[in-house]
Amino acid sequence: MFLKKVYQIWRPFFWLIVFFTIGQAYFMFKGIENAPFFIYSMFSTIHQDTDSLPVVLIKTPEGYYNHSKLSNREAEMLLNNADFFSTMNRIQSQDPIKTVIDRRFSGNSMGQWRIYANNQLSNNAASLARYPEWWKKYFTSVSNKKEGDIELVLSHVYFKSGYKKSPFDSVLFTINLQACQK
Amino acid sequence: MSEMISNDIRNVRARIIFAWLFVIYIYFFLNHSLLSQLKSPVLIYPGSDNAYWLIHLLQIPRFIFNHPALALSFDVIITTSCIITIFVPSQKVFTRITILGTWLFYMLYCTAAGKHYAQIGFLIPVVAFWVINAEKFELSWEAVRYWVCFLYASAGMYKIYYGGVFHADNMVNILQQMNADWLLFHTNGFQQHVIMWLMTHKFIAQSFFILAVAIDLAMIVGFFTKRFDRFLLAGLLLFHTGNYFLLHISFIEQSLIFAPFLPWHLIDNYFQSDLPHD
Repeated sequence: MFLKKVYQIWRPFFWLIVFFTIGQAYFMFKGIENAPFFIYSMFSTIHQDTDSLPVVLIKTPEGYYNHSKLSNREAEMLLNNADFFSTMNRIQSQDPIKTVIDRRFSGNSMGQWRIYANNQLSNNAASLARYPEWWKKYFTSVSNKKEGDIELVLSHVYFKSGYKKSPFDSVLFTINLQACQK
Repeated sequence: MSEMISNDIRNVRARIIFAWLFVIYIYFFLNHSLLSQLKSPVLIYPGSDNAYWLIHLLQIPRFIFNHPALALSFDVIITTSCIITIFVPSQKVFTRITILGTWLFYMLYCTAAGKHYAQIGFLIPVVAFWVINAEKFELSWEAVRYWVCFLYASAGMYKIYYGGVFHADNMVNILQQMNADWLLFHTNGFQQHVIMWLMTHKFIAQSFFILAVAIDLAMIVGFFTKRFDRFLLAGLLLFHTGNYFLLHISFIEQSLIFAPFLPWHLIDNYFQSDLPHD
């Protein structure tokens, strides 16, 4: 009924809806997201039982910084890309997207495109090297911490036999906040 | 049921929706999340999404992030356009700048944060105002409502298709994952007690998950009738309040997604009585 009305009153919009519906169906079938064709599958997969989970924490001279005091958006900006940074560091500064680029631009005639895409779409050792400095600036702006050594660490929490944090942290990087004060 | 939407009604709705969007931008500002407040991020995350690839291949994110003055100009333009649209809703240019700018802002934020977020509520309802003509707006507004119904209905179907709903420990495992670091800093209090209690009562926890799937799937009703919109709205409020309380999923930017289910006939009537008549 709605589509019939759209077809009668505003034909270009009708074809846009048809295009959007086909696009949405195609990308859902392929299982990839292409904004504005989102895949709304949040929390739909089976979450397997696990003994422990990794967590990224901020260690200050006074103890672990309670990042849940920050808003969701501030915590996301501080800690999600830290996880991404840690993943890339583990694989020798290799951005996992390079494999996707190589696959999508695999033909011999695509050489120039592949180089350009790699430059524009992936992170390299230089951007990873600048990351702690950027992190320091953003952390200083969202927290009231202005001095001291801060460590960004990767740790684990255990769920079996009570809820406990692992005593071991692996340090992603250390920064000195005073050094960024002018 | 539907009465013809006049230009006046379209403009009243534009004022409300863009004022709502502006409040969301204030929330972003207060939470250091506007582009100029991100301190020129150095990492990007385009993922496999072609739309992200396009803006990165056009060098838009790096160009904006590398020029703080440009990031500030972007923020000023988008918020000013939003304000102009609130006061002059019948113009096309600033309305469209706000819509395009909001979508671009979302993508730039996600690429800097290293994750493509599902909180897209503030992106969808504004799209309906791309058109100024009241008759076309009526259709685009209805299309947006169907889009939102589809969004939740498909989320419910995915939870069945991928089996999350059938796995008895699923909600407990989701609670563990989403609260792993939160529980380190909250060792007491009502919210902490509820979360910990649910983590040890998997049947109750999974019942919440099944309830969420039922709310998702109930949105299918929205494809056939608008008579139950107030119940769908109540369901969505419950769903997102639960997400916020148990999983700490941000609510404010998602809130605009409720807009298509508001009792617009009452709102329109209220404001129409204040409008000048011919």
